[in-house]
Amino acid sequence: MAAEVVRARIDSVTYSSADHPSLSDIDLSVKGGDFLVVTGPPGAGKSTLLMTLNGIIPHYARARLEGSVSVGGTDTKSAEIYELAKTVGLVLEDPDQQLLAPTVEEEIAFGPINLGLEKEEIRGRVRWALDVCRLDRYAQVDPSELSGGMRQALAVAAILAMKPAIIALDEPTALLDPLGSSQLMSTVSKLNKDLGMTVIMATQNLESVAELANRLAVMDNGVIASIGDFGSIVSNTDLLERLGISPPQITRLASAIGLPKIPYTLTEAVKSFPRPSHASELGHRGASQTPSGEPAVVVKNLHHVYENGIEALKGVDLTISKGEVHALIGQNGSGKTTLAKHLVGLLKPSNQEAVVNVMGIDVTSAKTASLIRTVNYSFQNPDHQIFSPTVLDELSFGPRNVGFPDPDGTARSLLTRFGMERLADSNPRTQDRYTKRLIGVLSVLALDPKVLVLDEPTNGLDAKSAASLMKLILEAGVTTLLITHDMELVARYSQSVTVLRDGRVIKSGTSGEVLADAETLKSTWLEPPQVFRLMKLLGSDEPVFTVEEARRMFQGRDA
Amino acid sequence: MPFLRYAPLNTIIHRLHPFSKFVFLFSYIVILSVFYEPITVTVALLSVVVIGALAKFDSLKTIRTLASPLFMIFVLSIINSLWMYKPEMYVNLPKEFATTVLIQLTGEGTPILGRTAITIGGVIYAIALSLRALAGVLVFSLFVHATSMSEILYGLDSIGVPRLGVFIFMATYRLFPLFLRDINTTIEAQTLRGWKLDSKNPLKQAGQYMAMTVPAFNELTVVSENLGLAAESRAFGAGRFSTYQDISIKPLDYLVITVLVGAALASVFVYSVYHIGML
Repeated sequence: MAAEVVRARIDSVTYSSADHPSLSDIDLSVKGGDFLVVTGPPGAGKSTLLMTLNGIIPHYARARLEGSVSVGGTDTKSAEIYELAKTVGLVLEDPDQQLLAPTVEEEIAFGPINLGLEKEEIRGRVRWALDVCRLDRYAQVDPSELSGGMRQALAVAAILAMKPAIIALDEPTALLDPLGSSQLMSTVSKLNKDLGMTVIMATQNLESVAELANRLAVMDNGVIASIGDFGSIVSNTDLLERLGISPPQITRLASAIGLPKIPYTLTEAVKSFPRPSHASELGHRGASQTPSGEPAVVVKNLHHVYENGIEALKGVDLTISKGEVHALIGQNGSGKTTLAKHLVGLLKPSNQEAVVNVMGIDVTSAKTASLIRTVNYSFQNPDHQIFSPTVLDELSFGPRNVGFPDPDGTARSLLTRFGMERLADSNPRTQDRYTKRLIGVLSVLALDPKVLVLDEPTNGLDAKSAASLMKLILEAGVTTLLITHDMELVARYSQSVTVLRDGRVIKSGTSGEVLADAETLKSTWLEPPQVFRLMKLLGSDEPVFTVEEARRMFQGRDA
Repeated sequence: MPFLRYAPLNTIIHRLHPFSKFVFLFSYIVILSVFYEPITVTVALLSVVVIGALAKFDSLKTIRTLASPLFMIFVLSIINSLWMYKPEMYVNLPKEFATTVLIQLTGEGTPILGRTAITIGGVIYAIALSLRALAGVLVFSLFVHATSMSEILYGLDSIGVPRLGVFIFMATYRLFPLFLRDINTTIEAQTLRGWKLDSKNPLKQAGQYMAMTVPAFNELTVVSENLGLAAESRAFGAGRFSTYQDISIKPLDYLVITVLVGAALASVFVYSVYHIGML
């Protein structure tokens, strides 16, 4: 029987700025070689729990820990963080807040250098970590030049190079593309299974860990609401969905059609599910139907070379019809954000022949200021957008700048429309992640643009918040370019999709056509939604991508 | 950002021992602190440009990038020189430079300010200060351009700098480019919401830019705290740093160190004894 490597008996953890504890009554035991997933909605206490493991709490964070945490037999209260770092490696949620070095290689070497390892050992570890995190091509690149997902992979690589006995990861796949996430997971799994490394991972993406984890803890409001064998806890879809956590699609589907045994991996699901008995009736996803109507966005032969010589776009073509939601997908670093910035005039093409036309305006020659009411962009990180003292000021900032007759009135009516009137006078920077994201989108919608570019709008949100946000955005009814890695989001909300790889369009068409093309998706490190893969394995070629669509194939439209 | 960024190249300057690079940094700090007249500062500046060329460092691009801040420094230096109309302030330059007034701003009896004037001597002084600022930025940028972080850690450690000092150096090295990047992203985001520099007045422009720094400063407060946390989480402070690079002191390093230390000492000597470098 494996020895216990983590023993946490926490009465409470209270941040100095808070009036109530962020963690309460935690009794957690983790055995050597466990792969424990900690899930829960934002603010449930997952990150706080992880920070108690390597001594950040109580040594670094301004928080009081009542109780004890022992890691590898060492009491975290009595050991320094750097001593605990030899046993526990912690990957924080935001890569930008943990990368220190000027090159990828040095970033990875930083931990081993601090450990005083021999030169050859450090070099070996750097090579290994570069390889397992798919960063070998970027060894000499400045981390700030990497895409968000690559920076996250780098943060993981930097910890892996220290080869700790326990690795704790806080939402490590939040910015990664699905196969990037799956590769990272397989790396972590290899470390867990082959090297016996104990893994503790906070994540809301249960689908990505379903094949790997053996235990699952569900947190809510600072307490562990449920903990145990992964399969038994993940099958409790009622609990998870009540907390806004999305179980794997196949688990939701099995629960929805009332299977006696609820699977949570594809391998199990193929054995558990019967063959579907109904046709999908999903004509709108059929290959013959393509988005029609007047184009809102037309891009032709767009090239972009950055100052440092990186060729980010290599002859991109894109057409978006008026009123549609068009998804732009592709692996990390494929050129999605670069393309989006051309639509709003933040970047200009590197070639003269390029066409970038939005609602009839030639963006290549237009000034950004003249475009903002035609096309606008909601940034991936709302913290870069938000800078006013109140939510009302934030929303009226744009309308005031462009000369709306009643900017405050515009802002107030948006707040009323989206049920946020009570937040008008509050500070936007202190809101939770969902509200900040919503404020970021609304501050752009306040300008009433005809075309809206949304860069990873649901990133870091729980399933319930993500669905609410998308519903609100769709209600606005503008032509939308949706940049995302979330294939379920694409399936649910977009009519057409463009796939980018290494700065080139490799596929464009209806969401049905593109999502069903597993080979193309795989070539750009993406994969179709899980229910589609299940249906394939069950012998169906129907273009179903959401749980509801799949349910109808088992129970019929009226069930 | 063409400056304040490490470039992993294999030049003669890159191959120097980190200790030599620190000596380069400190020697030039001494030299530039001593001289404050244009000719000696220009000589120092040109020597940095030559060393930069050996390290494949694009000094001209850096100068072009810094044109606006340098102009601001020149304006501030001119303001600083408004009281330099006394002949005894000039040792090497002709005394009449102090009294050759280009623009008289205020007279003797003016409250608080007293007499202020732009003189030929004052303009020369302002030029020297601006060149000195430029040379200082080039020296630091060149150091960053040619020195990897592991070399910095190793170098600081080998000269006995305490852990806190090493961390402060490391955090500054990391935070400055991050700060500039965040400001740039914020400006992009706000430009898309109709923000623009709507004033020709440099002071008002500065105020408008300051507003843009709010999110970046907020972010920096969090980031600087988290960088400390990230560094400790990766065993920073656990013991002596090792290195994975081939770092050894070579004959060229001895030569470079000797020349640089010699130049720094010589500059102090000629300044103190022969008043070279004084106005």
